[in-house]
Amino acid sequence: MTLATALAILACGLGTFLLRYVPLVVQGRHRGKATAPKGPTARWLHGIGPAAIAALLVASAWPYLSSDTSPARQVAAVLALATVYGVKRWRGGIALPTLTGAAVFALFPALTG
Amino acid sequence: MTARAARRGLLDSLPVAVGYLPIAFSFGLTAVQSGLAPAAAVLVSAVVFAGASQFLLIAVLASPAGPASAIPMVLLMNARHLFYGPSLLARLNVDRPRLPLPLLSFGLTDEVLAVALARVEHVPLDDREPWFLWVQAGAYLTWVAGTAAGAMLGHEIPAEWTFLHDGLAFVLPALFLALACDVARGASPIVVAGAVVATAAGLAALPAHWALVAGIIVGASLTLIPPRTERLP
Repeated sequence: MTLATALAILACGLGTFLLRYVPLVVQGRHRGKATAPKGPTARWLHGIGPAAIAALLVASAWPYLSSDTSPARQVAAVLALATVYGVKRWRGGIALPTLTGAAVFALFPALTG
Repeated sequence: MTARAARRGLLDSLPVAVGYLPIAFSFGLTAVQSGLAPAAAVLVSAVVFAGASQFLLIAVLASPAGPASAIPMVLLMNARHLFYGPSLLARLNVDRPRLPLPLLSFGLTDEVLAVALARVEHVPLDDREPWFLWVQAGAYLTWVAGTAAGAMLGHEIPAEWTFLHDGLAFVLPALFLALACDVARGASPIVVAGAVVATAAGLAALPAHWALVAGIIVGASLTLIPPRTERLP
Protein backbone atom coordinates (compact mmCIF):
# COMPACT_ATOMS: atom_id res chain seq x y z
CA MET A 1 0.00 0.00 0.00
CA THR A 2 1.49 3.33 -1.06
CA LEU A 3 1.37 6.45 1.09
CA ALA A 4 -1.00 8.11 -1.43
CA THR A 5 -3.40 5.15 -1.20
CA ALA A 6 -3.31 5.16 2.60
CA LEU A 7 -3.94 8.93 2.69
CA ALA A 8 -6.85 8.64 0.24
CA ILE A 9 -8.42 5.90 2.39
CA LEU A 10 -7.97 7.99 5.54
CA ALA A 11 -9.41 11.10 3.84
CA CYS A 12 -12.47 9.13 2.70
CA GLY A 13 -12.90 7.85 6.25
CA LEU A 14 -12.55 11.30 7.79
CA GLY A 15 -14.91 12.89 5.25
CA THR A 16 -17.57 10.20 5.76
CA PHE A 17 -17.26 10.60 9.53
CA LEU A 18 -17.73 14.38 9.24
CA LEU A 19 -20.83 13.90 7.07
CA ARG A 20 -22.31 11.95 9.98
CA TYR A 21 -20.87 13.97 12.85
CA VAL A 22 -21.27 17.66 11.90
CA PRO A 23 -25.09 17.65 11.46
CA LEU A 24 -25.35 15.87 14.83
CA VAL A 25 -23.27 18.63 16.48
CA VAL A 26 -25.32 21.38 14.84
CA GLN A 27 -28.59 19.74 15.85
CA GLY A 28 -27.25 18.94 19.35
CA ARG A 29 -26.51 22.63 20.02
CA HIS A 30 -30.17 23.51 19.51
CA ARG A 31 -31.72 20.70 21.56
CA GLY A 32 -33.70 21.91 24.56
CA LYS A 33 -33.17 25.56 23.66
CA ALA A 34 -35.47 28.19 22.25
CA THR A 35 -33.75 27.68 18.91
CA ALA A 36 -34.67 23.97 18.82
CA PRO A 37 -36.46 23.02 15.60
CA LYS A 38 -40.21 23.32 15.93
CA GLY A 39 -43.18 23.14 13.61
CA PRO A 40 -42.32 22.29 10.01
CA THR A 41 -38.59 21.65 10.68
CA ALA A 42 -39.34 19.24 13.51
CA ARG A 43 -41.97 17.50 11.36
CA TRP A 44 -39.48 17.26 8.49
CA LEU A 45 -36.81 15.73 10.73
CA HIS A 46 -39.29 13.17 12.05
CA GLY A 47 -40.32 12.39 8.49
CA ILE A 48 -36.77 11.46 7.49
CA GLY A 49 -36.89 8.16 9.38
CA PRO A 50 -39.91 6.56 7.71
CA ALA A 51 -38.89 8.05 4.36
CA ALA A 52 -35.33 6.67 4.70
CA ILE A 53 -36.51 3.16 5.55
CA ALA A 54 -39.04 3.14 2.69
CA ALA A 55 -36.36 4.42 0.29
CA LEU A 56 -33.82 1.83 1.49
CA LEU A 57 -36.39 -0.95 1.06
CA VAL A 58 -37.10 0.06 -2.52
CA ALA A 59 -33.42 0.55 -3.41
CA SER A 60 -32.37 -2.80 -1.91
CA ALA A 61 -35.25 -4.79 -3.45
CA TRP A 62 -34.97 -3.09 -6.86
CA PRO A 63 -32.23 -5.39 -8.28
CA TYR A 64 -34.46 -8.40 -7.56
CA LEU A 65 -37.70 -6.96 -8.95
CA SER A 66 -36.71 -4.79 -11.91
CA SER A 67 -37.30 -5.88 -15.49
CA ASP A 68 -33.60 -6.75 -15.88
CA THR A 69 -34.07 -9.69 -13.49
CA SER A 70 -35.19 -13.17 -14.58
CA PRO A 71 -38.87 -14.02 -13.85
CA ALA A 72 -37.82 -16.92 -11.57
CA ARG A 73 -35.73 -14.56 -9.48
CA GLN A 74 -38.57 -12.02 -9.36
CA VAL A 75 -40.97 -14.72 -8.13
CA ALA A 76 -38.44 -15.82 -5.50
CA ALA A 77 -38.06 -12.21 -4.33
CA VAL A 78 -41.84 -11.62 -4.12
CA LEU A 79 -42.32 -14.88 -2.20
CA ALA A 80 -39.46 -14.03 0.14
CA LEU A 81 -40.82 -10.54 0.84
CA ALA A 82 -44.30 -11.98 1.41
CA THR A 83 -42.74 -14.44 3.86
CA VAL A 84 -41.04 -11.60 5.72
CA TYR A 85 -44.37 -9.78 5.99
CA GLY A 86 -46.25 -12.92 7.06
CA VAL A 87 -43.72 -13.96 9.71
CA LYS A 88 -43.54 -10.36 10.95
CA ARG A 89 -47.34 -10.30 11.42
CA TRP A 90 -47.30 -13.78 12.99
CA ARG A 91 -44.35 -13.61 15.37
CA GLY A 92 -43.14 -10.00 15.37
CA GLY A 93 -39.48 -9.14 15.94
CA ILE A 94 -36.86 -8.39 13.31
CA ALA A 95 -34.40 -11.29 13.14
CA LEU A 96 -36.83 -14.16 12.52
CA PRO A 97 -38.78 -12.52 9.65
CA THR A 98 -35.51 -11.34 8.06
CA LEU A 99 -33.76 -14.70 8.19
CA THR A 100 -36.87 -16.66 7.12
CA GLY A 101 -37.31 -14.39 4.11
CA ALA A 102 -33.65 -14.75 3.12
CA ALA A 103 -33.91 -18.55 3.48
CA VAL A 104 -37.00 -18.66 1.21
CA PHE A 105 -35.14 -16.62 -1.42
CA ALA A 106 -32.09 -18.88 -1.23
CA LEU A 107 -33.99 -22.18 -1.28
CA PHE A 108 -36.66 -21.29 -3.87
CA PRO A 109 -34.52 -22.23 -6.93
CA ALA A 110 -33.54 -25.56 -5.35
CA LEU A 111 -37.16 -26.40 -4.43
CA THR A 112 -38.54 -25.53 -7.85
CA GLY A 113 -35.77 -27.28 -9.76
CA MET B 1 -23.77 2.16 30.60
CA THR B 2 -26.00 -0.74 31.61
CA ALA B 3 -25.48 -4.36 30.69
CA ARG B 4 -29.17 -4.45 29.74
CA ALA B 5 -28.68 -1.73 27.13
CA ALA B 6 -25.56 -3.45 25.77
CA ARG B 7 -27.31 -6.82 25.51
CA ARG B 8 -30.35 -5.29 23.85
CA GLY B 9 -28.23 -3.23 21.46
CA LEU B 10 -26.18 -6.21 20.36
CA LEU B 11 -29.33 -8.30 19.93
CA ASP B 12 -30.95 -5.58 17.80
CA SER B 13 -27.78 -5.33 15.70
CA LEU B 14 -28.00 -9.05 14.87
CA PRO B 15 -30.11 -8.73 11.70
CA VAL B 16 -27.78 -5.98 10.44
CA ALA B 17 -24.76 -8.13 11.27
CA VAL B 18 -26.22 -11.09 9.36
CA GLY B 19 -26.86 -8.81 6.40
CA TYR B 20 -23.42 -7.22 6.58
CA LEU B 21 -21.42 -10.43 6.75
CA PRO B 22 -21.78 -11.52 3.09
CA ILE B 23 -21.38 -7.96 1.78
CA ALA B 24 -18.28 -7.33 3.88
CA PHE B 25 -16.93 -10.73 2.85
CA SER B 26 -17.50 -9.85 -0.82
CA PHE B 27 -15.85 -6.50 -0.26
CA GLY B 28 -12.74 -8.08 1.27
CA LEU B 29 -12.49 -10.58 -1.56
CA THR B 30 -13.08 -7.94 -4.27
CA ALA B 31 -10.55 -5.57 -2.71
CA VAL B 32 -7.81 -8.22 -2.71
CA GLN B 33 -8.70 -9.28 -6.25
CA SER B 34 -8.40 -5.59 -7.27
CA GLY B 35 -4.83 -5.57 -6.04
CA LEU B 36 -5.27 -4.13 -2.55
CA ALA B 37 -3.34 -5.75 0.29
CA PRO B 38 -5.56 -7.54 2.88
CA ALA B 39 -4.46 -4.98 5.48
CA ALA B 40 -5.57 -2.12 3.21
CA ALA B 41 -8.96 -3.78 2.66
CA VAL B 42 -9.47 -4.01 6.42
CA LEU B 43 -8.28 -0.41 6.82
CA VAL B 44 -10.95 0.76 4.34
CA SER B 45 -13.70 -1.02 6.28
CA ALA B 46 -12.35 0.15 9.63
CA VAL B 47 -12.14 3.86 8.77
CA VAL B 48 -14.80 4.38 6.06
CA PHE B 49 -17.54 1.90 7.17
CA ALA B 50 -19.93 2.82 4.36
CA GLY B 51 -20.89 -0.20 2.21
CA ALA B 52 -21.39 0.73 -1.41
CA SER B 53 -18.97 3.65 -1.39
CA GLN B 54 -16.18 1.28 -0.35
CA PHE B 55 -16.66 -0.73 -3.55
CA LEU B 56 -16.43 2.54 -5.49
CA LEU B 57 -13.27 3.46 -3.56
CA ILE B 58 -11.43 0.26 -4.43
CA ALA B 59 -12.55 0.50 -8.06
CA VAL B 60 -11.01 3.97 -8.30
CA LEU B 61 -7.88 2.90 -6.40
CA ALA B 62 -7.43 0.06 -8.90
CA SER B 63 -7.88 2.43 -11.87
CA PRO B 64 -5.26 4.76 -13.38
CA ALA B 65 -7.26 7.78 -12.11
CA GLY B 66 -5.12 8.14 -8.98
CA PRO B 67 -6.08 7.72 -5.30
CA ALA B 68 -7.01 11.40 -4.73
CA SER B 69 -9.82 11.25 -7.30
CA ALA B 70 -11.63 8.71 -5.11
CA ILE B 71 -12.19 11.22 -2.29
CA PRO B 72 -14.89 13.48 -3.87
CA MET B 73 -16.66 10.47 -5.40
CA VAL B 74 -16.89 8.65 -2.06
CA LEU B 75 -18.05 11.78 -0.23
CA LEU B 76 -20.71 12.56 -2.84
CA MET B 77 -21.96 9.00 -2.57
CA ASN B 78 -22.19 9.29 1.21
CA ALA B 79 -23.74 12.79 1.22
CA ARG B 80 -27.13 11.33 2.20
CA HIS B 81 -25.66 10.68 5.67
CA LEU B 82 -25.99 14.44 6.32
CA PHE B 83 -29.67 13.84 7.09
CA TYR B 84 -29.20 10.93 9.46
CA GLY B 85 -27.74 12.58 12.59
CA PRO B 86 -30.52 15.13 13.17
CA SER B 87 -33.16 12.48 12.55
CA LEU B 88 -31.48 10.14 15.04
CA LEU B 89 -31.12 12.80 17.73
CA ALA B 90 -34.79 13.70 17.39
CA ARG B 91 -35.73 10.04 17.99
CA LEU B 92 -33.28 9.40 20.84
CA ASN B 93 -35.24 12.14 22.62
CA VAL B 94 -32.38 13.42 24.77
CA ASP B 95 -31.81 17.11 25.44
CA ARG B 96 -28.13 16.73 26.29
CA PRO B 97 -26.44 13.57 25.00
CA ARG B 98 -24.37 11.88 27.73
CA LEU B 99 -22.11 10.05 25.30
CA PRO B 100 -19.67 11.98 23.12
CA LEU B 101 -21.25 12.80 19.78
CA PRO B 102 -18.38 11.21 17.79
CA LEU B 103 -19.35 7.89 19.37
CA LEU B 104 -22.99 8.37 18.42
CA SER B 105 -22.18 9.31 14.84
CA PHE B 106 -19.25 7.12 13.76
CA GLY B 107 -21.31 4.09 12.77
CA LEU B 108 -24.39 5.85 11.46
CA THR B 109 -24.88 3.77 8.31
CA ASP B 110 -28.13 3.26 6.37
CA GLU B 111 -28.87 -0.01 8.13
CA VAL B 112 -27.89 1.14 11.63
CA LEU B 113 -30.10 4.21 11.25
CA ALA B 114 -32.99 2.06 10.01
CA VAL B 115 -32.72 -0.29 13.01
CA ALA B 116 -32.38 2.63 15.41
CA LEU B 117 -35.45 4.42 14.07
CA ALA B 118 -37.55 1.27 14.03
CA ARG B 119 -36.57 -0.02 17.50
CA VAL B 120 -35.80 3.06 19.59
CA GLU B 121 -39.36 3.46 20.85
CA HIS B 122 -39.09 0.03 22.53
CA VAL B 123 -35.99 1.10 24.50
CA PRO B 124 -36.30 2.89 27.88
CA LEU B 125 -35.28 6.55 27.65
CA ASP B 126 -32.22 6.18 29.90
CA ASP B 127 -30.90 3.23 27.90
CA ARG B 128 -31.24 4.76 24.45
CA GLU B 129 -27.76 6.20 24.00
CA PRO B 130 -25.81 3.13 25.20
CA TRP B 131 -28.25 0.90 23.33
CA PHE B 132 -27.57 2.79 20.10
CA LEU B 133 -23.82 2.64 20.74
CA TRP B 134 -24.03 -1.17 20.94
CA VAL B 135 -26.21 -1.40 17.83
CA GLN B 136 -23.42 0.44 16.01
CA ALA B 137 -20.72 -1.69 17.64
CA GLY B 138 -22.36 -4.97 16.59
CA ALA B 139 -22.69 -3.77 13.01
CA TYR B 140 -19.21 -2.27 12.87
CA LEU B 141 -17.38 -5.26 14.30
CA THR B 142 -19.20 -7.60 11.91
CA TRP B 143 -18.34 -5.35 8.98
CA VAL B 144 -14.63 -5.25 9.81
CA ALA B 145 -14.46 -8.97 10.68
CA GLY B 146 -16.35 -9.90 7.49
CA THR B 147 -13.93 -7.83 5.41
CA ALA B 148 -10.94 -9.51 7.05
CA ALA B 149 -12.44 -12.95 6.43
CA GLY B 150 -13.17 -12.13 2.78
CA ALA B 151 -9.70 -10.69 2.21
CA MET B 152 -7.94 -13.69 3.73
CA LEU B 153 -10.28 -16.64 3.05
CA GLY B 154 -12.54 -15.53 0.18
CA HIS B 155 -10.83 -17.64 -2.48
CA GLU B 156 -11.53 -20.84 -0.50
CA ILE B 157 -15.37 -20.66 -0.76
CA PRO B 158 -16.59 -23.17 -3.41
CA ALA B 159 -18.06 -21.33 -6.41
CA GLU B 160 -21.02 -23.71 -6.53
CA TRP B 161 -22.36 -22.49 -3.18
CA THR B 162 -24.45 -19.86 -4.94
CA PHE B 163 -27.51 -20.50 -2.75
CA LEU B 164 -25.53 -19.33 0.28
CA HIS B 165 -24.46 -16.15 -1.49
CA ASP B 166 -28.01 -15.50 -2.78
CA GLY B 167 -29.64 -16.03 0.59
CA LEU B 168 -27.20 -13.83 2.43
CA ALA B 169 -27.43 -11.11 -0.22
CA PHE B 170 -31.22 -11.00 0.18
CA VAL B 171 -30.94 -10.32 3.90
CA LEU B 172 -30.88 -6.55 3.37
CA PRO B 173 -34.21 -6.18 1.50
CA ALA B 174 -35.76 -8.62 3.99
CA LEU B 175 -34.38 -6.59 6.89
CA PHE B 176 -35.65 -3.28 5.49
CA LEU B 177 -39.13 -4.74 4.97
CA ALA B 178 -39.22 -6.03 8.55
CA LEU B 179 -38.12 -2.60 9.79
CA ALA B 180 -40.60 -0.83 7.50
CA CYS B 181 -43.44 -2.86 9.05
CA ASP B 182 -42.48 -1.41 12.47
CA VAL B 183 -42.00 2.15 11.30
CA ALA B 184 -45.04 2.27 9.00
CA ARG B 185 -47.41 1.84 11.97
CA GLY B 186 -46.66 5.31 13.34
CA ALA B 187 -45.81 7.04 10.07
CA SER B 188 -47.92 9.06 7.72
CA PRO B 189 -48.86 6.87 4.73
CA ILE B 190 -48.23 9.78 2.38
CA VAL B 191 -44.60 10.03 3.58
CA VAL B 192 -43.98 6.33 2.99
CA ALA B 193 -45.77 6.33 -0.37
CA GLY B 194 -43.93 9.47 -1.50
CA ALA B 195 -40.55 7.99 -0.58
CA VAL B 196 -41.36 4.72 -2.37
CA VAL B 197 -42.51 6.43 -5.57
CA ALA B 198 -39.64 8.96 -5.62
CA THR B 199 -37.02 6.26 -5.00
CA ALA B 200 -38.45 3.97 -7.67
CA ALA B 201 -38.62 6.84 -10.16
CA GLY B 202 -35.09 7.87 -9.22
CA LEU B 203 -33.74 4.34 -9.70
CA ALA B 204 -34.96 4.39 -13.28
CA ALA B 205 -32.74 7.36 -14.09
CA LEU B 206 -30.12 7.84 -11.37
CA PRO B 207 -27.47 5.88 -9.47
CA ALA B 208 -28.93 4.18 -6.38
CA HIS B 209 -27.36 6.59 -3.88
CA TRP B 210 -28.97 9.62 -5.56
CA ALA B 211 -32.30 7.81 -5.85
CA LEU B 212 -32.10 7.26 -2.08
CA VAL B 213 -31.49 10.96 -1.48
CA ALA B 214 -34.46 11.83 -3.72
CA GLY B 215 -36.71 9.35 -1.89
CA ILE B 216 -35.71 10.64 1.54
CA ILE B 217 -36.14 14.33 0.65
CA VAL B 218 -39.46 13.87 -1.18
CA GLY B 219 -40.88 11.60 1.55
CA ALA B 220 -39.80 13.86 4.44
CA SER B 221 -40.96 16.99 2.60
CA LEU B 222 -44.48 15.57 2.37
CA THR B 223 -44.71 16.09 6.15
CA LEU B 224 -44.84 19.81 5.34
CA ILE B 225 -48.27 19.49 3.74
CA PRO B 226 -50.70 20.68 6.42
CA PRO B 227 -53.27 18.13 7.60
CA ARG B 228 -56.68 18.56 5.96
CA THR B 229 -58.23 20.10 9.11
CA GLU B 230 -55.52 22.81 9.20
CA ARG B 231 -56.29 23.81 5.64
CA LEU B 232 -59.96 24.47 6.35
CA PRO B 233 -60.86 28.10 7.12
